[in-house]
Amino acid sequence: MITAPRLDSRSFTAFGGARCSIHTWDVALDDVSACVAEVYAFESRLTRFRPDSELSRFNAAAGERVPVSPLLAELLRTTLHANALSDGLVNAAVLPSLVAAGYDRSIEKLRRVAGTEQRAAVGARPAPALPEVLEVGDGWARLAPGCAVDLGGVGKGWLADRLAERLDNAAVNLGGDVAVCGDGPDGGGWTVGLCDRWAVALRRGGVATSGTTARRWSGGHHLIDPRTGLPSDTDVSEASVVAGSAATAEALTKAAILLGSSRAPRWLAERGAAHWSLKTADRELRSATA
Amino acid sequence: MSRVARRLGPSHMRVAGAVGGVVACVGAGVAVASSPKPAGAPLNPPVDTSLAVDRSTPSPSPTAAPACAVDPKLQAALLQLRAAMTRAERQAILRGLTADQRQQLTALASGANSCGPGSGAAEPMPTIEPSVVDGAPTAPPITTSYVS
Repeated sequence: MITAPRLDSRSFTAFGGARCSIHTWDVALDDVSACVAEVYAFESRLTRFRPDSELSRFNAAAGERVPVSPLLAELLRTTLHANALSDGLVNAAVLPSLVAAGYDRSIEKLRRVAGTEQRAAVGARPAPALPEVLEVGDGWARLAPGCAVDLGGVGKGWLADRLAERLDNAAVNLGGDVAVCGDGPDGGGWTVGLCDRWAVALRRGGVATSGTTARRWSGGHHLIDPRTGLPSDTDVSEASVVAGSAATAEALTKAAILLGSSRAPRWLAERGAAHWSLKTADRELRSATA
Repeated sequence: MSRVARRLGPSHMRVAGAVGGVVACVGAGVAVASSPKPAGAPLNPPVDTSLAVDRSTPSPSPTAAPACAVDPKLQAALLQLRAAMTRAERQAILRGLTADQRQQLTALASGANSCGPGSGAAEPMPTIEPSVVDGAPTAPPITTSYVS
């Protein structure tokens, strides 16, 4: 039986309760279900909140060269690329600082604990340069002793990119990291909203939003500035960036927030990011093309 | 065109390509060396250098056999995936795998990770430039990027 193409949307939660959705045009529902299953498989293998995950075991083996799966190797490479793209500002090795700042359990559990306070102010130090402490080879990787990495948003962006590519004509939103591929339901691309209610239509690319307004607790938030080892004191509360992929957008967004509203616009322009929005406490900034 | 093709065989083309590559690299090097640091030059975050990887532990030599121990089933699926011409063919290959296997296969297929010559080379981050549709969107957002 031939069925007419149709728009389908599937919503679910993953990554510590983050809202996720997959929107497809003319894609078999079984294939969408398979993608949702992959999101959970990805989370299970790479969460830092389970000691038996591959990422936790890799961190626990810091100092040794250990075998890693193709997936972990690829993501470690992606974090190195994000680090280079962001001039070192996106640094997966901030994990010890993040834990010291209080983010030592899943955000769902953290929000239930009253009175968690920032604990990193004393003894905080800059994160190590990622390329100096992380080596990745074919089927193996090595972290410097005492170091640990968190794949964070770049990992989510990578996964959203791969799933959107797989589905061919889809928009995949994994906790705010959106990857788009295809002409969309009406041929005009997939329209994605940014943090300031503006929207952009894409046929291929990614949108990421980050900020200090979520994943925060009494005394801290999850955006660690690698230059200080402390939660960033940036004036940007939220930022969205559109780029060629969700992983790239994620790296640019995080860097823009850490740079602050005075430097981010020029920095983004120098990297060719033509569509972005920034929010501070009292104003909204937007690229000329947004 | 055909006369040129006859006169310049593959070996000539390789030599020409190599010379061209050297010229291009030298030119690029000179251009980089002579470029002033832009006012908004990349940041140089202060970093903790006390934690560097101990590179005295030998890493595998470039000529050593790859350490990548990939499941033979995934290797076979990777070959099939690369030969697949349509989305339907690709999806059919993936349906025979578990969710975790599909993830591993996707990582292998993304290129930087596959075992083989040059697979350890760092590749650039994906492109900055998205394919944005000109003008205002014709439809309301199907989804919104947000702070999670």
